[in-house]
Amino acid sequence: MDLQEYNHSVRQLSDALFRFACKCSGHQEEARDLVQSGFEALWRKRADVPADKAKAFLFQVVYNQSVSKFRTADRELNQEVEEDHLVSHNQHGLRRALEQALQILDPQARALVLLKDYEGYSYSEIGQVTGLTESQVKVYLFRARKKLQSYIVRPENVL
Amino acid sequence: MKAMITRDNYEEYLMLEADGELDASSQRELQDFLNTHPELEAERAQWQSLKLQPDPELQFPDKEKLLKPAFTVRKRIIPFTLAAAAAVLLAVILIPQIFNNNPENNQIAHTSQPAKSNQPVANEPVTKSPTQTTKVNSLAVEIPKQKTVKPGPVPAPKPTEERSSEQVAPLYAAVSTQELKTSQQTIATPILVPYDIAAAYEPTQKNGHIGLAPANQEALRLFKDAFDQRVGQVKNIAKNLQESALEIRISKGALNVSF
Repeated sequence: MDLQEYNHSVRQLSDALFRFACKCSGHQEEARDLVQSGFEALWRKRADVPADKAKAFLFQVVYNQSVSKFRTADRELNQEVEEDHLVSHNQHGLRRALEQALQILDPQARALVLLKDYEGYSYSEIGQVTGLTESQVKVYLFRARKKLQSYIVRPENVL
Repeated sequence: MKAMITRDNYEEYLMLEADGELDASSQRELQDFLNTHPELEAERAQWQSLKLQPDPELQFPDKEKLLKPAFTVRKRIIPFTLAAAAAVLLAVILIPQIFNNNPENNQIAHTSQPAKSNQPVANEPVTKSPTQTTKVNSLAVEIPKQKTVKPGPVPAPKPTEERSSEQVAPLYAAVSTQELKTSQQTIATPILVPYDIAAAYEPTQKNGHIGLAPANQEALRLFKDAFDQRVGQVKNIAKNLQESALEIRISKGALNVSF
């Protein structure tokens, strides 16, 4: 990967990576640090990472850092997600509920859902980014979506 | 192998369908299953709606800080020191050429007086110097004896415009030997190299150099000091160049820099 390809990756992927990092961390400042560290790692490894693998590399870096950093049993749900307008005020109610429901998932499950829904990765590609097998991705995703479903259909969350 | 969709596993297939992971045959099988269980269509719609949508308004604010500047590889940047070294090297090579090609502009060293009235240290041709005979182990050897001549008073230097080019002693004669003609004799000046300034202005030289007035000697000494200092700097730069693995070659009028 040369300089032009790297800068192209910055322009094309920084926003998506930032959204992913925001949802994983629940905090905009931490998400900024995650994105910067991801691109710094890409720059250091640019000789080894081809341009078409830059996206997977970046998301892998951010995933690893967010899962290891935020995998704490007693981590409180960060409400800055809403306060920082991570959820648009014009958003449909279901979408808002889903964004809130996302926070109840553990970091790994949250990342899997985001990689699938936000970035459209296949199960196989998600496995490459996260280091899981395709079967594991299916199982973990299924459990995550069931949790989201059960959160939405609760009487207090019914729209 | 045909997948078996049952009441126990249909939700997994609904999720796979919502994620776009079902192949064509599995899709047909699921549709057939749902055709036989129409009450499950609502769940199918629910699984389809459980898709998160990214917020396009959420963008990374410091994108410009992530970009890398224009392509400048460290190897291809010629540091200031190396550029200065190359400039000094060129100056050392070109200055002698300039001085040599235009002797009328060389006003650093002048003869203090026309050759006519100047009293050189050795004003008698060598061939005419008296000799003395000394016996060395009973072998008579004639030793040329230099006649001691007291230098006369040095007249004040004439204005520059009155001097002709023949009366100016060039510092550098890089091409060939020059003959400086005086009214009394022809003195062949040797070929001078740029570093041979000391020999040029030394008044007690026995090789026939024309002596210089003290004022001019001082000027020439200052020039020599400055030049020696510059040469020393160039040598230091050359040493640094060797250590930096930068190679500069000058050949056929071209400056080749490789690293």
